[in-house]
Amino acid sequence: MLTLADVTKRFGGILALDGVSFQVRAGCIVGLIGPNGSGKTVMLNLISGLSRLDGGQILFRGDRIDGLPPYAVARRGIGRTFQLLKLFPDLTVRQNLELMRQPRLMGSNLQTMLASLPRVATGPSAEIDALLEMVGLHDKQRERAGSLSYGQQKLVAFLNVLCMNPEPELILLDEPAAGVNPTMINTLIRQVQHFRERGKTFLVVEHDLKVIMDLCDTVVVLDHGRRIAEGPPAKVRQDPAVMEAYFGR
Amino acid sequence: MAAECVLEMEQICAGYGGYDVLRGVSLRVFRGEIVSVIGPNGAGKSTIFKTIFGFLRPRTGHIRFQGAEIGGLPPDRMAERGLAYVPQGRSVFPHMTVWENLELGGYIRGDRTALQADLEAVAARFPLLREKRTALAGALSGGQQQVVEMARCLLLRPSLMLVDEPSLGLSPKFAEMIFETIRQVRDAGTTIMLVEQNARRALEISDRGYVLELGQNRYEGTGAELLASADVKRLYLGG
Repeated sequence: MLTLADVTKRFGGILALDGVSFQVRAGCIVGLIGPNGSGKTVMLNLISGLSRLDGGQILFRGDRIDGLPPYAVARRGIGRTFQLLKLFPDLTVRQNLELMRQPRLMGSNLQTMLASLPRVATGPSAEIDALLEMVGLHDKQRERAGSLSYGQQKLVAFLNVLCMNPEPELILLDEPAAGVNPTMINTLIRQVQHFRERGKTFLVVEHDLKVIMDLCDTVVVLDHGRRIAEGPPAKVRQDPAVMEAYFGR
Repeated sequence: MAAECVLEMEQICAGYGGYDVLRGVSLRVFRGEIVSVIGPNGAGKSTIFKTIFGFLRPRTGHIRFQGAEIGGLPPDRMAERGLAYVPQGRSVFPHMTVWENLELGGYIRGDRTALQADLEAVAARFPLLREKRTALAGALSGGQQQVVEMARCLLLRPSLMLVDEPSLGLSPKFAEMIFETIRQVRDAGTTIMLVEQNARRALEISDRGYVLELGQNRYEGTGAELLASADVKRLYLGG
């Protein structure tokens, strides 16, 4: 579904990604792990069109998407979450989700987007109810998103991407479990599995060992902008180079 | 243990805009302990720290720090009294060097000579600080920044250090290093209160812990007791 071929990115004199190649097959959950500063988020930024690559190609369903602006990438069916939160803090939790569901919102200009706000949060939606229920935020839906705790906002960000319209086929998650309670992490894992069964594909950047080990089919390990390992999590966990660079002990 | 009680919260209610996040929380921290606060997202863990440090004024209840009532005192007063706070998320001054960040940690101290000695002592304890002395703090990795933040707080010679989610966003290797650092800091004599989502690891290094839910005390016990409790495991540690 997604092919990264020799992807290279420089920031000034720093080589953030140095010819990284791997594939994400349809219906798979692929983990992208590595030490802080190894280039994981840079890779997500390149895939989602937030920054331009300096070399290599990115193909989504056989078509090149590198060079496309973020909204065009989103329209083709790639959604993402961010490590740092990107919610509208002054809208309610529910409005944030409903805003994502507005048809053809993505890529329209800011004015159109803002004009649609008053119409947001009117219609009942069983799907949004179910999503909120599943992360235990149903009773917070009328509260300002900005008033929620960090962990709760992370959960809303996860729901946000699931509410995108058109529905994304490939979902990029940037540290979905960071700051989330361990019990809720289990819920998060179950939900990602559930959406995978419904045909979604995931590329997940994560440091939480449980998420990596329990959720991912394959793990790609980056260190200093290079791919140093790839394989099933149990195997990668034992790889001496990966233990040294990442897991420690 | 007849140790001195460094911090005592008694029936604290506090929150934002008329809404109470903390609904009658009570807890105590004794000198030399690591005490963890764990619980679901939105339970009020970070709010406890904000209330202790004076960013929030408790609506009711008492907070005593080293025997004196502090509820409602502003943060600068708290720092003067020997309370240090390492907030959630990165808070180094990114465009200053590591050493300048450390120097700012002792900014409010009057004893310049002693401060210099403490600076060297902290740098001796964390070799990273010497190694990266002239590097811009913003150019360090997340784990390294976390070390700078904790070292900077130590220069206040705090009696109690509040540390909010230090392992957030760190690789397993760096997270482990941070937990080890916290233990070292305690062993060197600083009392620590810790909020963590990595609850299992936090309880492992803690003398005692409190489980908070919906702004209320739910369970408390030694780190080992909480780790062994079937309820705590199922509800908060992810089974």
